Amino acid sequence: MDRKRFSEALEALSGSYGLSILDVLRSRGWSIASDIAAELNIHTTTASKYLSKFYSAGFVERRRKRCRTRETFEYHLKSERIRFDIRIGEDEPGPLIESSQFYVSLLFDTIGKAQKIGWALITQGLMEALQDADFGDNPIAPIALSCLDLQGGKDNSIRLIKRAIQEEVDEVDMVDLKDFYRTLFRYVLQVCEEGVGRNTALRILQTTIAQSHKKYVDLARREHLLDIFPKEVIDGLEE
Amino acid sequence: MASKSERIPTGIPGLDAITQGGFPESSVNLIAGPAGSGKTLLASQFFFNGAKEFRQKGLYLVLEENRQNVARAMKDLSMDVSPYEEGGELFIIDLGEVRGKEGKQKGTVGFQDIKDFLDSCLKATGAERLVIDSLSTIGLYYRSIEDLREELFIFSRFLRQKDVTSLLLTESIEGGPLTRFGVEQFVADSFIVLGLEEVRGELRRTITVRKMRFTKHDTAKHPFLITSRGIEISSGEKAV
Repeated sequence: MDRKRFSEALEALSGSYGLSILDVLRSRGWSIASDIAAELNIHTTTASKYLSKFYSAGFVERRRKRCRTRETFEYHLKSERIRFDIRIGEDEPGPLIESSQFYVSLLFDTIGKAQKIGWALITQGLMEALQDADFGDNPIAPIALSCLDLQGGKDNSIRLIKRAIQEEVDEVDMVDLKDFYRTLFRYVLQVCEEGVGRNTALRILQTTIAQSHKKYVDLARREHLLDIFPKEVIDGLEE
Repeated sequence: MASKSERIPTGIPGLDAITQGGFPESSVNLIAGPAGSGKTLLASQFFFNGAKEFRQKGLYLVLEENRQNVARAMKDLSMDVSPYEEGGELFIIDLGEVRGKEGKQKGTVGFQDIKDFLDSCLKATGAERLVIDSLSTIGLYYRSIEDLREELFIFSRFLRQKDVTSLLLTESIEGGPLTRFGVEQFVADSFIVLGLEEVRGELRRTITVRKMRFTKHDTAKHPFLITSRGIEISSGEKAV
């Protein structure tokens, strides 16, 4: 755990509702923020903020849930005991940088795989798609996009994004980071699909995820890095 | 009968002469032959000549070999696809790269996957010539010949609806049926058989156009040679 996340976790735990929220999760099992908020008689936004921080700290798991009008997350307490894994004074890259490395590697491996099967137009297609891409008001998007050097290659992009996260660490949050890559890979899939069809596009992504996952298995599990992919991508992996 | 303007010439010396100028436009054509008979070479020339001589974009779908081997084999016969690939005129796509490796049917792709792929790829590339190398691999996806025949029939209808002239390659076993599964020829518009026969201790290559819709084609078995320029068919000579 890096310093930023450690202090966020402590702040959330020591906040007015931190332990109460975890206790409700312990007794209820999988729950959405509004259920917890109703039980504690607090605002849903307040419960959501706590849950998001607990998720970043690795105390809870989450999965997507389709409600009547929108999609939300439901959460689950990982363990009734909370542990901190932190090494004092170590200049570790931190989960934000590691996670970015995972996603950027995956992006370039996906491009490489598409090129290897003969679809060289993917780079050009992706560059065009990203010019008009809509990342909402995700604060990470401008930083991360400026670091993606699609023609320069993977190593250069990883170096740039690592430096940017170190410089802008206070502005970067794991939830935003994942949202950025979730949208980015949606565009990747879309561009691939336009060139080689949905099934082949899914196979390209699944093949590269399986290869990357082997390399980063602990990180991917700890940080739930595969959560950003659509269900059909993940289901194909499990087959 | 098709007029000359509706033919898609192969650019292969001799072949266009015995087929009234090439394959009918937007037709589905089957090329069968045993290993080493020249199927891939014939398809490569159709593909490469399309871009070089007739300004037609082409898509070569590799299912057995890898794309590097196919491109290298073409280059060895003076068909360097690199400038055409860079120019977006020729595309060699290797779907074998994303096939699953384990479990039932995971090592193969079916016609549904190929249709899904072609639906997007033909549109994105604007290809007018298509080669599928080969049906033998796709056939392994199906549990029964009936399933294969039905899917192949649907697939050939799908291809005819596209503005593309297709060559489907299939293997035949020496001394056995003309095609790998014995059903491929029934759904194609044309059926060309390449042969490899021993004559006085030497192997001789032959080509026979057994069927070609909309075409008054030559039905004789012709000998052909593979030279440094590829396949050259002696259209005036018959194999006896």
